Amino acid sequence: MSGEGEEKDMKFEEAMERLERIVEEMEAGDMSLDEMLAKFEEGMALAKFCRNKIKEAEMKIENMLDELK
Amino acid sequence: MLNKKIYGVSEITGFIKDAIDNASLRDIWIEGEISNFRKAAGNYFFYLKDEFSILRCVMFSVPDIELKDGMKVLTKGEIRVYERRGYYQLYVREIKRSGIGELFLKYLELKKKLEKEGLFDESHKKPLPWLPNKIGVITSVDGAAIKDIIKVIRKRFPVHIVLYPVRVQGDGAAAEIANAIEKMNARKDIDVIIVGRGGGSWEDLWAFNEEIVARAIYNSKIPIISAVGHERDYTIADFVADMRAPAPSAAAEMVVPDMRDVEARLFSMVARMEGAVRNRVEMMRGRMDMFNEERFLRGMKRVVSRNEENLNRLKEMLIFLVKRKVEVLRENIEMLTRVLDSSSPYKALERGYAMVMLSNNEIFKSVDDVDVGDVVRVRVKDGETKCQVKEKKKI
Repeated sequence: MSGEGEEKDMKFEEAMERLERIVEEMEAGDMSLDEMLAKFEEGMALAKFCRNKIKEAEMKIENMLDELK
Repeated sequence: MLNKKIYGVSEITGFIKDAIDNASLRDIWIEGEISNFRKAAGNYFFYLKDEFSILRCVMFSVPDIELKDGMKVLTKGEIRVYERRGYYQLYVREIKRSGIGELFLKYLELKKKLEKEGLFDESHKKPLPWLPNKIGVITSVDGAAIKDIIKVIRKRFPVHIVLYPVRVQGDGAAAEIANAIEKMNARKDIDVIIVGRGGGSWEDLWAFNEEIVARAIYNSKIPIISAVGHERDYTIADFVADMRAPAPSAAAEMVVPDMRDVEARLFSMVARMEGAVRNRVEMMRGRMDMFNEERFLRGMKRVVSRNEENLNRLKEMLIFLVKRKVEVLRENIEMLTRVLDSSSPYKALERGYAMVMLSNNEIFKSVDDVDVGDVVRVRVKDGETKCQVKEKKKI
């Protein structure tokens, strides 16, 4: 999988947007086979990244005044 | 006596009308107590009175509050003469409960001033992030607001909440709120702020009408949602904020997307990518059929029989080329199929979910997508069935 490292820092929102673009490009269909496979792999990695983000989501509550004391 | 001018009734009424019109009694605020209230043909008639006088009033629009005899009110409107009946009256355009009169005027004054300065300009409003990492919340720890916000965010998309507890009413509340906004801006890790409180009387909400809060909201680099629970009136904070929520729980709904929606969107995008690759495979299969060896040879034979000796070598070469082309296509198809299998989106199916596709291969997401009698494809872990829609019902 390409770019696993760079995706670590990526924001969820950016990942979703990039994935959306990839889907649209793939559906337009005017790309070479190699390109298509590369897009597919990237798209799958993005989808996995997003799914993990959802799975990992948990609530934390921090009180700023406690911190200031 | 005889040389004195004699006026007609309408003529003298006209003079009185002009005199009152010239007095410019427009957009004036008058306070008094309602008496003789009645409603007729959708209009509201009453008198405003105080210790010494009464003033006839009429209102053509629906008032914001329920009017009753004895109620102290603050009205805004203009005084005109009703010529047919020969009396003057107040044409009421706005009516508020009195007692808040002074505060209300202060509110209007500040609103006008800040609006002129551009604090409410749409162009200054910042968009909210789609999914914030950290949400700042400025409200009281004792109120229902913070509980509502936490409850809704936990349900929709749990994220990190940074709470800055403040007093939301009483002396000093406005300064505390403004200070909290500044402190949150100093942190640099907060993506969006909710500032608000639950519902209360106009006086209770007053901190959100103070200039210091308005300016802090305007100066914030972080987008702010105002969430002051009240029904009809906007606070100044609402006008300045980047987004206004009618209640704290509504702010929580605006601030994060619902994770179930996000999951559904992801699922659909993966299915669409798979569909695109699948189409590509189908396209290549079709091309491979065109290179069907038998058909090709039959065609070749016709050519070759005419020119057998010379073409023998050409024939060998062409067959070789065609075979190679077919080989490459087959390899490509195999590769695509492998990729599809190895990163299949159908992992969810293994957990017992099913994916339903429409006849055009789109994912079946809404009952509006089908009619009774339509056939849909239901994909489960180990295969696919075609099912017919017997009934549809919206929930």
